[in-house]
Amino acid sequence: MTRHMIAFAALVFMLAVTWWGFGEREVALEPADESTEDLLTAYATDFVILRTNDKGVAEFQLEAPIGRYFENQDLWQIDEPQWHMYPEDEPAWVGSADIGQSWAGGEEAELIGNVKLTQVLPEGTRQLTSERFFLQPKAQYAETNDPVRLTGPTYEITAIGARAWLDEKRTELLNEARGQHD
Amino acid sequence: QTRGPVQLEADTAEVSDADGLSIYRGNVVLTRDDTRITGDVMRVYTDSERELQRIEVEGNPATYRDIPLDGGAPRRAESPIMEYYAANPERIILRSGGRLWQGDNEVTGETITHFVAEGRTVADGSSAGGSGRVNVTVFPEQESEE
Repeated sequence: MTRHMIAFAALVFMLAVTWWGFGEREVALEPADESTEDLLTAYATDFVILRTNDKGVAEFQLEAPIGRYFENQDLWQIDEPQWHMYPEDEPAWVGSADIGQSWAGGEEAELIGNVKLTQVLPEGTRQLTSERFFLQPKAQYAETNDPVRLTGPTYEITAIGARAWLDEKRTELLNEARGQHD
Repeated sequence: QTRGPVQLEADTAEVSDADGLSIYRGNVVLTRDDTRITGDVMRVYTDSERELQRIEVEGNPATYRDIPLDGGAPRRAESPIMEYYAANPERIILRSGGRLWQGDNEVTGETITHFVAEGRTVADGSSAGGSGRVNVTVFPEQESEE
């Protein structure tokens, strides 16, 4: 079994057990080409990953034009990820960024560049924006040490650093908080 | 007269959208046009429509200052606890023993309510444990020498 085949099989197995699970659309994985063999294990293009709970209800969906997997680091790197997080009985959180990285089987992720987390509520839209966010999708937790902006139906607050419990709709702004309430 | 938005500065803030409550902590300064309030903690409450309703201020003491529309001397106040209502009507309530003064004129009392637009002040001395007295000192305006 050539090294490519082993790497490819390992990757497919690895994807099957990660929390992101397999999407309705089969993820087309192609082995890496020769030049980045020792780093890049495989990549996927135009893919959608949908995670559902045991009742088949969507919990999280990610789509992106390209994603690369680096086995030696157990690291996924995804360009222009767009994702939906579906908290129970609540409107979805919709997110986007220039780049996303995920490790620990998808339990942790980092979002870099124009990061937006948006939730549309009956009383208005809530949005968190920053240049960088560390995310624990399953725990619906996000944090940053960078400048951050939180906007709500009738307020806007900027600060340096934030911790957000998305499912609890609670956000701590850690330094230099500047708020405007209408 | 349309009033501007309420702006706050603080060391940290915490927002709970589920409750419609934002809490600002540490060197908190609220400004709204010429009105300025300072304190250690400010809790911003919104109503069911998420409109700004009232702001509770705690300080050592909390302070208030505004400049009357007629351009008179600034009005100042201080008390351990204040409540600022942004509208209907806009007012500041000093609790737990407050003092409000403008130039040499001064009011003290357990609870003092100042209606910003009217420039009217109501003082109430009664409260459990309060001295129960309201003190008002008003200096007649100096007659201009002819």
